[in-house]
Amino acid sequence: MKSIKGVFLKQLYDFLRQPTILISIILMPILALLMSFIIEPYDEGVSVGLGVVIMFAPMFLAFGPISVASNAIAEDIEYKRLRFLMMAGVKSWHYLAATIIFVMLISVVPILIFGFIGGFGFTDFLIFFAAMIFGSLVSIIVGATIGLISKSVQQAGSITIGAGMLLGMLPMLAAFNETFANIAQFLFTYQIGEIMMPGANILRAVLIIAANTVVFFGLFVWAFARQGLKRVPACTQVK
Amino acid sequence: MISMQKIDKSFGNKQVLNQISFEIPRETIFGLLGPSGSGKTTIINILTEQIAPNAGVSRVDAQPFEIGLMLDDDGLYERLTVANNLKIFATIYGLPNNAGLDIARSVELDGEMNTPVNKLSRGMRSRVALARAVIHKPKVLFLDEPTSNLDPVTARKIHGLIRNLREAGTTIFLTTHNMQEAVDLCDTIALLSQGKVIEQGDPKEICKKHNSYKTIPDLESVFVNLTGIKLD
Ligand SMILES: Nc1ncnc2c1ncn2[C@@H]1O[C@H](COP(=O)(O)OP(=O)(O)OP(=O)(O)O)[C@@H](O)[C@H]1O
Ligand SMILES: [Mg+2]
Repeated sequence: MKSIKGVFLKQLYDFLRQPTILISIILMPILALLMSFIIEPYDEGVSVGLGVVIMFAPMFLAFGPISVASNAIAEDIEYKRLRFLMMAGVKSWHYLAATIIFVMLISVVPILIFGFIGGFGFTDFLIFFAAMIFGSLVSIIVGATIGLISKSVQQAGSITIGAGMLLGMLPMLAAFNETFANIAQFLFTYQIGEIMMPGANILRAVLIIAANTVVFFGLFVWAFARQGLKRVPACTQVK
Repeated sequence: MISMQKIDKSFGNKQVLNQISFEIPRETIFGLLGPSGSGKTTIINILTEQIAPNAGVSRVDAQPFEIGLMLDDDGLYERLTVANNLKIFATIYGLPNNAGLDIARSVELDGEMNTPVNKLSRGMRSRVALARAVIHKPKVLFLDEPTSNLDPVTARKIHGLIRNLREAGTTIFLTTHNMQEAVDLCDTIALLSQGKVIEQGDPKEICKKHNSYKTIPDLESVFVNLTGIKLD
């Protein structure tokens, strides 16, 4: 517990001092809020608020939690900081659990903002909230996997942008292009938007999200089994 | 307290350590001396179980959390303040809230508590790394070149701190290429050259034995005589 608390504090302090990472978490809800004021009503079935949420919530899942998780883990590995934590008794699972819990918690605020913009009724809000929390978890797992496999923070950043494009832009472009829609429908980010559509096929969405979870969690386990947190010596460079 | 017996270590086909043996009694300061690339950091990595030797036995009589570690790669959180860096480790060790400030005071950094680590001078940064290494009052402390790149005044402060830790019951293992530091500070030393321990014992005795005890014990010339290698 002490270990988890210590790592949690580290991630919190570091997050607060990194404006670029902070932005990745608050950008999408703020954009969504602005858009909800700007956009004129355009569809009978879907309110402006809901339309904006369906567009931006997947983008948040694709860029927010992923970035925070991958950046934090990649940096601690690159700068060989984990050795000191491990010597102090922090286990790999303490480190990962603390990091995941931290990113989960900071994702709650944007989710609540989306919930507000969406103007949901009580039941719909609960469904939306549960779906987004679960989506954030999957997103964090993807970010953690990227952090584990990257050789540097910079590399993690590039992979994160690639993953974000795939998970975030596809669902958005799906609205304009059928090919994109056909691919995007298999992404959890798309299905989380779908769930909120009137008359959505909830069962299908849940199954796809579950399948995504299995795949991404599997990748995470693979990445961890491969190198762990790279507890290699913080040794000298070969001269 | 700390010992190595007949340790061999190679990287690829390059033998870095060759039959290294030594024994360090508790509550003493042990200095491992040798030129760059002689295998000092590798020995610390083996003792702290970061890498496995090819042969031989190493032992440290302490649990991992009773060990303190200060390395060249200091692993500090650069953007975080001194206070927050220390707070994180105080939390992990379950220490009281004032532990960070207390330890910062002992390395004279209590005035810099709210400075981010990346804004500190090199000497200050080393002291933060040292403070973090000793915040939990470890039984065994490993210091990899704790005073390299420090000005003499700061180095002397760190020497004082290391002595205090020994008085408080800590066993200290340090590496250095500074011969004078070894003579002034260490109870016992081992001279390492090309992966072998070529001499070990009380540094002043070693100097006497090799007739290099002028007005001050001159370990440097002993080393040069023994190895033919001149240190910078
Ligand atoms: N992980 C590694 N892979 C390959 N070679 C290594 C590795 N770690 C160390 N070496 C080699 O082992 C030798 C000893 O290295 P080591 O870092 O222990 O020396 P050192 O005495 O600490 O030097 P310095 O005073 O410069 O810190 C060097 O030649 C180095 O290149
Ligand atoms: Mg070294």
